[in-house]
This record gives sequence, structure tokens and C-alpha cells, in this order.
Amino acid sequence: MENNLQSLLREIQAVKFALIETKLFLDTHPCDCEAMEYYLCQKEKLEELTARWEKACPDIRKENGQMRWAWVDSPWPWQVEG
Amino acid sequence: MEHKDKICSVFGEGCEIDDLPLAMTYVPMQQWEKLYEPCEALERGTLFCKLDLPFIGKGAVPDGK
Repeated sequence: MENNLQSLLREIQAVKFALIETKLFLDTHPCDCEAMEYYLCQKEKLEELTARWEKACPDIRKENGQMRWAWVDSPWPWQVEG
Repeated sequence: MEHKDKICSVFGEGCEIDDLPLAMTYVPMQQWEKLYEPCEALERGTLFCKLDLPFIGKGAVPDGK
């Protein structure tokens, strides 16, 4: 798996983790505005990163006019280091 | 808020730690403060520095550093 995809995946994992932690905090602090602002900002960042990932590794690919379920080709979990 | 003030705000002015009821626990409310960057948070296993207390066989280590 190329390096830039590797680091993109790592960043997606990190932002997802930050979002989970923020949700847990908001569960007990539902009126914390700072936490909510952070949550919205990270959520937006995750959407952008995910869009970049899906562009690089589309689930459906077109090869010479033929559609292919490319998910089976994209790197398998054990091929992803880290 | 100082720890002492917190006790007084909950149990009344002039309250000393010894005046507090036995066998009652007090869990301070977590604050939204001192966050790790997402990449470091994933490494440390928490977004919050204050909850980064790795057990290293002796006792919790504040801020994990």
C-alpha cells in the first residue's frame, strides 16, 4: 500500500478516534459548547479525508467500460501496516 | 477552582476534609481541557491528557510522560 494512502488511512483512524472520545465526553456534558465545536470541526475533517480515500480507493471501478466491485482488490486489512 | 473551594462549595463554608462523610466517594466532573492532537490521542489511547494514566506496575503516572 502506497505511503500516502497509508498516512491518509492513519489520519482517518486518528480523527475517528478523536470523534469517539468527544462523543463520550458530550454524553456527560451535553451543553459543552467548546466540545461541540471541536466535534463539528473533526466531523467535517473526517468527511473530507473519507472523500479523499474513496476517490483513491473507489469501491466500484470502471475498467475499459466494464464495472468492477473493486473493494475486493483494495488492500486487505492484513496488508495494511500499523 | 481549588480543591478546598470545591469541598466548601459542595459541603458548605469552612468544611474540612475530616468533616466529610466516611465511605462516600467524590468523582470530580471532567473538564474539556488539555487535548492531544488526534494522531497522538490514537497513540496514547485517550484524547485527554488528564486521563492518560498508564499503569506501569507502580502507580498511575500523571499525563503519561
